[in-house]
Amino acid sequence: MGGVGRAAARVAGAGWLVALLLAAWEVYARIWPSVFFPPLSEVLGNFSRMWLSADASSLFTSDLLREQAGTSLGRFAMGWLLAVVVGVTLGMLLGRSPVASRMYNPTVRFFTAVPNTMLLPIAVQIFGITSRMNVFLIFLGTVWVIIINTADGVAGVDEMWLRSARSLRLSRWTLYRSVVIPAAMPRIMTGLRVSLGIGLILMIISELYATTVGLGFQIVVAEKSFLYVDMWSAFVLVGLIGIVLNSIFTLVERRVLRWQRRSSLSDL
Amino acid sequence: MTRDGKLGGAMLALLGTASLLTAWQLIISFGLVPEASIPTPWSVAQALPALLTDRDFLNGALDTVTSWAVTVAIGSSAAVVIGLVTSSVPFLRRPTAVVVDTFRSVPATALIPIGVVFFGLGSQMKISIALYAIFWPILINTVYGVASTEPMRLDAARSMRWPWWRRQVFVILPSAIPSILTGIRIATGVSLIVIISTELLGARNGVGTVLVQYTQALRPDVVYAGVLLLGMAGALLFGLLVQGERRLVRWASVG
Repeated sequence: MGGVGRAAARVAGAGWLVALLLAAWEVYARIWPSVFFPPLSEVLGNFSRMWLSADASSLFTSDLLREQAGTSLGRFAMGWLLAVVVGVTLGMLLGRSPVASRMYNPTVRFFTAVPNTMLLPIAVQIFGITSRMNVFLIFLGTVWVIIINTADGVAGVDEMWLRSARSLRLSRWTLYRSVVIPAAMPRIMTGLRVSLGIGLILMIISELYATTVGLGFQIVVAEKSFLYVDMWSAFVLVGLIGIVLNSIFTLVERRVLRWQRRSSLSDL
Repeated sequence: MTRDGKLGGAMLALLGTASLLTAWQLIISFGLVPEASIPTPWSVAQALPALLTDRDFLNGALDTVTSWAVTVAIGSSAAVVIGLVTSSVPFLRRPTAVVVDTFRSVPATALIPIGVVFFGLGSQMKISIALYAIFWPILINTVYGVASTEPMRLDAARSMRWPWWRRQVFVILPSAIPSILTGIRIATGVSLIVIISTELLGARNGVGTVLVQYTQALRPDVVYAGVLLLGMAGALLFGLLVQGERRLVRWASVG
């Protein structure tokens, strides 16, 4: 599957369709000018004025960027990491205990099926317009997918492996660390990947709905003040942050699951 | 599973749910959270009939479900067709994957203010933003599904000189269907999240709009009842989809 360098070269070679779509945006907006839909070049110019600075000591980011993105990402990190810890722990419990899983499976399925954004008015009611509201919503919206996937992964561990581990008299800790968790890892990572996307959606929607600071808030403020170029450049920033977070996740996932390809090949 | 096992499972499920409801009641009884922000389970249950006969709520629900069905229908057919086409043109495969990876990482809710500027507050706005959200996951699953086609079957079809469309319909599509269905299942959930988000942010009609009005009227019991109903409807739908998927996948793996 090649090194990171080769993969990067391939991505660059394959990126022309993205470039083409972006060029289409530019051409379309130039031919049919509209205040709502400024050309990409104009958005990017505004982007660098708004979000970038010439100061190398702050990695060329503007104060506004650090403040807004810092707040949003801080909320996201707190809510999502909490969901990862709680979700993986509960998922393990449910996956290892058939009784517990039968007792609480309906509840977990129910909460996975609730459209998470519906919890937004409730979160606002409980916490008011504070960062705790955003964190709570992100946590509550992402934890269930993680629980379900962890539980399924743990429950699906090959019975044979568990028996051999037991016959080796592995301690409980070693059993989890070297058998159960690695075997469940692909499913756990699936859950984390889905929850990452949902978490970002919730981070933005909760900031659009009610806050006074954050990336989503920047988009709304620009929209409400009819500054459509600002609105688009805030949107581009949100998009870039999403792309960066997802790419980091993909790298981590590849590293964590690097043994998996080999084992799946030998399965064939 | 035996009949006994099923019965025992149902008992355990009831017990588990009951234990959580009791915990909810206890939290309020001991005053850990103010009752103004979290109503008791009993008052939520009492609000259910009122909500089910509320004309605004029912109309809103109808509007939400219609937008959602339209989104899933348009989104899945467009994504599947585009997925089949790009997969059968070799030099488009990698670039398509990169496009999908790029655009699906952009949180769809960030598009809501932009959608409002373009389309106003009607169904058109809801559907177009939800379409953006579901197009990418279905497309990527179609592409994966097509890639998993047994090469031997393709060779067989080619040696019989089947035309392009025939290979697509009778060889590639059946092999890709399990993966496509997974994509559509993800899409049904995501589109509902996005549609309700647009309603919370001011779309003219929909379940979200009605529940925001109840929030402003300080009726948390009704809001919780609404969330409960939506959750049950969602769980039911999800169960049906999984069932249908199992049937189709069984057929696909035989075929």
